Amino acid sequence: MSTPTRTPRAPAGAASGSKPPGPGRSRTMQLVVVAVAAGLLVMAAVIFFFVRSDGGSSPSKKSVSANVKLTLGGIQNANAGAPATLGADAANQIMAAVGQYVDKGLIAPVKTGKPPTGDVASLFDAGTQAAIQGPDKGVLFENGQPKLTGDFKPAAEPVVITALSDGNGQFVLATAAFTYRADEGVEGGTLNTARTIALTFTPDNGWKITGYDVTLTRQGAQVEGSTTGTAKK
Amino acid sequence: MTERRRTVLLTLVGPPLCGVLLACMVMAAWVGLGLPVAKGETWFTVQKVPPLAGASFTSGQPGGVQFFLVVGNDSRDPNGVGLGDAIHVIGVNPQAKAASIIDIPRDTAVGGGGKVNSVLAQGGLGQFTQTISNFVGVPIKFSMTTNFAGFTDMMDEFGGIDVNVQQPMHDENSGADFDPGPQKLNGPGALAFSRDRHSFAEGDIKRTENQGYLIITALQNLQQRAVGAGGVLNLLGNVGRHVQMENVSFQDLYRLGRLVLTIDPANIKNVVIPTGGGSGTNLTPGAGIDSLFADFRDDGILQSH
Repeated sequence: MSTPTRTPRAPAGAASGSKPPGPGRSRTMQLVVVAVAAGLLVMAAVIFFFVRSDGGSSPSKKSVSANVKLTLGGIQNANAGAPATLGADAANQIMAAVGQYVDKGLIAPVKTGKPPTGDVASLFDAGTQAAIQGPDKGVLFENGQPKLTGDFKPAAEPVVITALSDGNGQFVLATAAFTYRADEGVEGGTLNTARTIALTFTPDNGWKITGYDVTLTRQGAQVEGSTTGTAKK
Repeated sequence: MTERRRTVLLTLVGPPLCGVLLACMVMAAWVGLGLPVAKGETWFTVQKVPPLAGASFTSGQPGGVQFFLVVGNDSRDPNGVGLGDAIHVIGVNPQAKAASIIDIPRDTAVGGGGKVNSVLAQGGLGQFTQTISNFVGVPIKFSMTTNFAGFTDMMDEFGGIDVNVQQPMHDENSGADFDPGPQKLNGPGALAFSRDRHSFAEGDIKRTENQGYLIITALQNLQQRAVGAGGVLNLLGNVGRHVQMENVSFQDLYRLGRLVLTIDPANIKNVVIPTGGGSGTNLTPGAGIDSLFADFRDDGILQSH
């Protein structure tokens, strides 16, 4: 079986007798194809990563507390509509608020021996104000008692954020869950405090805490057995 | 490789390669933007009842008593609303972490008119809610309704429901075929359980009571699955794809869910309203109904019933 041979054709519309494609023209075509392919690949990557991460950058992995290692452990997205991923900006804002809650609400009172300042209340939305300054205050925050007389060793597990987006892909709620422990040297020995904390945030001039699940357990010095308290909203 | 072969190879491989990459780009946009993902079938409709300002869910979790209306309608059209055949008013007392369910048989004649169930089909959920609110004498702030398809799909999606069947239920009309004892019901099974009236001497009265029991049991099942605040968000993510919301935000649903999930099912009373005879198949409100509603109205808890 013979293989027919072909003479390269001139491009359509080219004048009869024009030069057939040479090595230079093939190389140009090769470059065009490669460039188009590379361009499409880059565009696909940009669309995927930029759009999906709602801004491109990753959430910060740094500690958000000045006093304890408090880092983001992960983000879970719950989507009530189209798939969406909580953006880095939102995650960082939520983590910053978590850091302020820990620093101002849990650590500063122990260090200063005084209840938290009003600053910490500004992390919470209007609907929670009555509860955080009333019945839930003792579980949500430290109050500076008993006085610190020895070492203070706070520790926290990484924070896991669960974020809910609505049908339009807008994030409307997010819960930051973590555990916090502190060993405090007080008169008579060491007081161990442990909290399991879930703070629920909603967009409100940034992100404000609109609900919480906090369980507090104390044992050790100045506590008979152990005490437990819960605050839910 | 000769230049000619390279040219042929590029001609053969280049366009498909670009096509594949173009497809990748479209897929990236698909996944990234999520545009083509369709909203699921509607399981239920939930609405905040006007006046909206009266609904305290707009700011924080309510500390006061809340009243809700849950209605199962008989529409076979997945997008339709039919007769309100399963009518339950739920009072929740957050402070006491207790609740009560007032079950209203579908044939109850309300306000001197005909059967109450027709109001839903004729006037919609808003008018139906107002009718029930006036009848019981409580301010209902949220109401929700589901139909056959929505109910079965919802039950199936959540992996069915564990119930304890109290007495034999074998009824061809509803499809119920259950022996007494613990049962895991799938969507159609749960629907049959809530529709069966022929297995009982009390007929629709017992069926109505069973529907209230199913609500309590569903709460029990949900509490075992939606653990913690993050669990509620995951639950909302799932439910949110299938709910039609009217004047309701996800924050409302979150607070509603949080409120309801704090109630111990053991602290929920389930009572069918007393009914007397009536013309035709209509049931007139029976003796003692005023006392029942008064007991319910003050704090959402039935103390003397």
